[in-house]
Amino acid sequence: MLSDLPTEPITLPLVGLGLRHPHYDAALKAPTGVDFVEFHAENLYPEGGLHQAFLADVLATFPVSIHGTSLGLGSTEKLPDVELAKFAGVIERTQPLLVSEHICFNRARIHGKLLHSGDLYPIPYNNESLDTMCHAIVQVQSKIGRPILLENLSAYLPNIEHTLSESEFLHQLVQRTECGLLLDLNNILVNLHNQQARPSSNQSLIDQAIAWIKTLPLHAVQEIHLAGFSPNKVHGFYIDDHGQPVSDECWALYRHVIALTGPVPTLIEWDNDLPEWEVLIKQATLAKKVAREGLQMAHKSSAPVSNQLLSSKPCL
Amino acid sequence: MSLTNWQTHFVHAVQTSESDGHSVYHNNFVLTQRASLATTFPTVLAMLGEDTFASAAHQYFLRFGKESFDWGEYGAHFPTFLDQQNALSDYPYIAEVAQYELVVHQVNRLPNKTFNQASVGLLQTHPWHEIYFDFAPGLQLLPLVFDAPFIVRAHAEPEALTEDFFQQPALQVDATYLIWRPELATQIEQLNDEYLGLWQFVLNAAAPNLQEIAQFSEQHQLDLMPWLHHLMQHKQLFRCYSCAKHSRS
Repeated sequence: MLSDLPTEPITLPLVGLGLRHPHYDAALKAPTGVDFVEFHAENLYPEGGLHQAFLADVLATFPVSIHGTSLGLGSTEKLPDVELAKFAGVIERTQPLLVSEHICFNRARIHGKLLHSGDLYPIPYNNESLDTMCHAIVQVQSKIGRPILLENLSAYLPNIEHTLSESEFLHQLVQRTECGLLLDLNNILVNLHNQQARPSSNQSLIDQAIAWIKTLPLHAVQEIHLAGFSPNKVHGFYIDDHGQPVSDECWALYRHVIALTGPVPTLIEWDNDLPEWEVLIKQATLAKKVAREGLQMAHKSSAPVSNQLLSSKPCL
Repeated sequence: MSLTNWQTHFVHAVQTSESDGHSVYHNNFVLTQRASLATTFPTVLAMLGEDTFASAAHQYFLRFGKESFDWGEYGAHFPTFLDQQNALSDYPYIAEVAQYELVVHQVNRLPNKTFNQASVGLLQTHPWHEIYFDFAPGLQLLPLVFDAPFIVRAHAEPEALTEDFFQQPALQVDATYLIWRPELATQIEQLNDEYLGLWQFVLNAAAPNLQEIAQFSEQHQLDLMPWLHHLMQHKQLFRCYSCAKHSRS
């Protein structure tokens, strides 16, 4: 099917893997098959000992991306200077390809005590959230001297009252702060599954996802996350548990989206029930293959890419 | 409702599992919190077992909440909390095991320092009242009733466990340990009583000065040079420096 495609070279995206503690040795022993590795920023907060020794080895081996999980930029409670300094210190030490955080909040004052959830809580999309997020993003970008990417969340509360659509919110976020976006395709799929929700829609889930993604400021998407999720519901919800291989749905969506965004860096997220490093490398290899398919299809014609791709079968 | 109030309500609703959606976040918190404590306190987990540990972790959260941004910094009060649990009276050493694991965890995360063996040459070239000491990262004393380091080591090497391993009299040591990080990993040694007072004097000083250390040693009839040699040999002392104005990094 692909033999009649143009032969000019396709630029493929960089494909990275989340590097978690159990894989440190394996990754350094076999540093092929992956273009970059991603660290959670907080795992690099310790400034000495084994952490830094290991980090030095990794930095000599791989480009890295830094993914923050604790800043909670949508929180109305102020981001403490000391926490921002730790985050900035990691950026300074690692000089990463990409820096990202989440569109979420994570802390509140309960009975006078500021409690931190250690999690990513959803925010209502409204002007107050927008102002709060924009202020914090500018604060972080100013501190680290570069733009950051903001990731869309999976959320488990369907009844949050929004006055802006998520898409409007993201447009304004990008416009006001010049931040980029990290598009987590698995989160989009999990949200759609949990909404199931659109019984009136005749579109497939993938079609719905693509239609929604097309409303986003795609020029700002600078990274894509791929993952899988458990088929078992918890309290009636599918959970973005990062404990599975990338799902077939996610691969199919990626094939469409990479055609829309162009070859932006792509990361396989697998944080729980970790398999062998070699399994992750195979996922990275598959990501390259799927990206090539998507980009070649986009290349083939000036017709709307998603229309072509929707008619093609997944090739996994 | 203001955004602040909305967020406060959300956090409270997660704590109380107000709805199915909030329960998802609640469950995630419980699992992550337990995993975080298990990472810092693996021997405590092994000794208590999954269920008792999970119960302790839950009670700990109810009492202390979580204020740290980084899960790696979570659990600072866990040893004290364990010490106050009547339900754990079968494990009289559990709080000290936790304390020891916490200290090791914290020392392992401290910034590096540069070891400068040549700086000991200052002892030959400078008057001692101008010479100050800079110790290894995390160097501190840890007094323990039970032999927590042995318990932790034995759990890491289960073949060392015997049937009478947890006989209290055998584990009771009433000793003070010196903890420090010479390179990548934290080290520990049990101090003998002879030099305990000297270490307490040194570590209580804002900036340990060699002249003052020598005077203390003389007053207590301690042989200073073997002590200094031991410090350098085991990288407990990272450098000597000479200045009128000093700072301890």
